[in-house]
Order: sequence, then C-alpha cells, then structure tokens
Amino acid sequence: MKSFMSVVLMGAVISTILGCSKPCKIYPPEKPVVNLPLELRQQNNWVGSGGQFDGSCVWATMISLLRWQGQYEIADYIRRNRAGGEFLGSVSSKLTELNIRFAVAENHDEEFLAWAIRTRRGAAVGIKKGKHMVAVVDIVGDEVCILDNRNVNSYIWIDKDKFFRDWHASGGWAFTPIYSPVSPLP
Amino acid sequence: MKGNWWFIAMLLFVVTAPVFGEQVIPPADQGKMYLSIVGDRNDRAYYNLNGMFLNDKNLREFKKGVHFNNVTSDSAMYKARYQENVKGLPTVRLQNAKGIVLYEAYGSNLPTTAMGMYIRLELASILNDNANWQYATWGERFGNCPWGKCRPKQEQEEEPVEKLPEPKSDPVVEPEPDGPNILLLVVLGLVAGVVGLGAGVLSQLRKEHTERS
Repeated sequence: MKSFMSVVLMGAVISTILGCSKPCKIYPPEKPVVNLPLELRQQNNWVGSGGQFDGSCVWATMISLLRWQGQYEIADYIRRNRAGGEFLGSVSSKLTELNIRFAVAENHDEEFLAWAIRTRRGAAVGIKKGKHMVAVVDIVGDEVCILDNRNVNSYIWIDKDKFFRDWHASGGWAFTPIYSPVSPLP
Repeated sequence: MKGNWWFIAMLLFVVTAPVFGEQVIPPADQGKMYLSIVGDRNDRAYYNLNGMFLNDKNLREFKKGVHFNNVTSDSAMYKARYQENVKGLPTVRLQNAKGIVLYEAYGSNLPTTAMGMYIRLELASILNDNANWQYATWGERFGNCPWGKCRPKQEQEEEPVEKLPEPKSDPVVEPEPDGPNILLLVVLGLVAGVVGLGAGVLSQLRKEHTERS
C-alpha cells in the first residue's frame, strides 16, 4: 500500500513538472495515416484564371499534400494561379519555380512511397498510364489507400499489386513536398 | 574572348544554381517529435507564445529538430484534429513520432519565460529518449546502432517562412538572454542533488528510528 502511494505521489510530481493535469484522450492509430480533413482535400474542379472550370489533377493533389504539411499560403497561391493539364516531367521545374521544397522518385522506387508514408507526408503518384495523378495516403499490408481528386469525399483502398502495376506502367513517378506534416492525434 | 564569356557564364550558373534548386533528398525524419502551438490568432497570449519561440535562441534551435506546426482556432485543421482534445488555448504540445503526448501546457499553465518553456520541453525529450530505448527492438539495439541506442536522426530543416498575425498592440515579449544549454544541466544537477540529499537524510532518520525502537 505504501509503495502504491509512493507511485501515485511520484506520478503526481512528474505530471506537475510536465504540466499534464489530467489524462489525455487516446485515439486509435489513424487510417489512413495521411488523414486530411474533408474541408482541406482539394477537388479537381476549381475555376481557373480564364473563368472556367479548369482544375488539374497534378495541382489538386499537390494542394492537398501542401495543406497536410501546413503550407496553406503556397497551396492557396497554386489554387489561384495554376490550372489545366500538366506533364509529369515538367512538374519538377514548376515546383522549383514556386520555391517549393520537394522530393521526387522518377525511377519506379517503391521505397520512396514507403518512406512517404513512414514520414506521414503522403505522395503524389501518376497512374492510368500517366494520364491521372492521385495522392497515396497509406500503405497497409496488401492495400494502398489513395485520395483521388475526382472525388475527395472518401478514401479508396485498392489492392497493392494492382496499384503498383498501374504505377509502374505509368512511369513509376512520384513526388511530395518536404515540410512538417500535421501532428498525429494524441 | 569567346572562351572567357563561356567561363563566366558557367561560373554564374554554378554560383546561382543552388539558389533555385529546391529538390531535396528524402529526409529520414520519421522519428522526429511534433511540436504544436495551438491558439486563437487574435489572442495576445498566442502571439506572445509565438514570439517566445521566434526570439529565444534555445527554443529556435529546439524547433529546428522537430516537426513544428502552428494551428489557429479558426482553421479546418483545428476543428478536425485539435478542438476535441486541447484543454485550453493557447496550447503547447510536444508529441513523439507515435503521437504520444510528452508535454502539454495551456492557458495559465504555460511557462511564463522562454527558459522555463525550454527546460520543460528538453526534459520531456529526455524522457522520450529513455522511452525509445526501452521500446527499441532487438535489431535496433544490437544491429546498426552504436552503443545499442537508436536516436532518430534529427535532420536540420530549413525553417519555413512564418507569418504571424498582427496583434492589436505591440506584443509583450520578455527580453531574455540567449542562455547556454549548460544552464539546463545545472538545474537538473541541482534537482538531482536535492532529491539525493533528501533521500539520504530520510534514510538516515529511518535508520536511527529503527535502531531506537
């Protein structure tokens, strides 16, 4: 009993020092790991500078990933100033122009996607023979989770082998901005 | 002459190229802690808290070694991920890479000085290091890690440009000298000394009491 009281007392002292006055709510592990609030997911349908609906799957994906990493101003700038189709190969130079810090995999590097999930950043990937771009937001077991900018209301879990076949057939190209992802749920 | 121009052009390219290049090698920063400052952008306390992290050298350095996020209470990110679990505003929260809260303070519980804040954050980091050691896998302990201890590499990232909301009046930020880290060690040493002394005295008293009875 005495030792139990000592433990309780010690816990109270440590809590006081560290400022945690009551137990924190514990959340289950997030799925997907890049779990962007619905409001911040960019749908590919914004009005371009020409006044017509003229989004871009590349920029929509980039905007979502930038928001996840706290870069709202750059994301808003892109949304206002970029629209229309984009060649995957030209994105690197455009990101450099925009002064965005980013990492690229141009060589079918599956480890790059694993790294992007490990670091909770997510990655933009080319699919459908390079005609479309989506964000990879988790890889768990035999499944890959993507956020498709054509319908951002829900995440799509697809078979890992199927996804990687599509990705490799599309050039095996991926990129992600390099900033601080938002903190995990406590 | 043509050769000289070519040489100058190449030299200019070499000198200016790094300025434009922003493509980086993927950093292995999955073990980094997360530091979040959450608050109301119109609240002076939130503004002062940010000032503390901008002006104090120790806190600036601390920020570079972690994932740092500023979350305002009017943002969608706050409503979806913070509103439910913060206890007051402004909040400073330090989490390890798995999301476990190592330190959290809010409102009037916040340390009033930069040094006080720094000591608490460092102390929480030290506890996290020990926790990492306890939970390290066999491979991490005896594989490639020297001395069996794996501390995630702390990449020094370039600080993103931060724009703070303008306060209604000038912020009150206490001028603090950029104290060396040695102060932390001195404080911890003193605390350890006092605890040790107390334990010693207590043990001696107990011993005497036992002998008498």
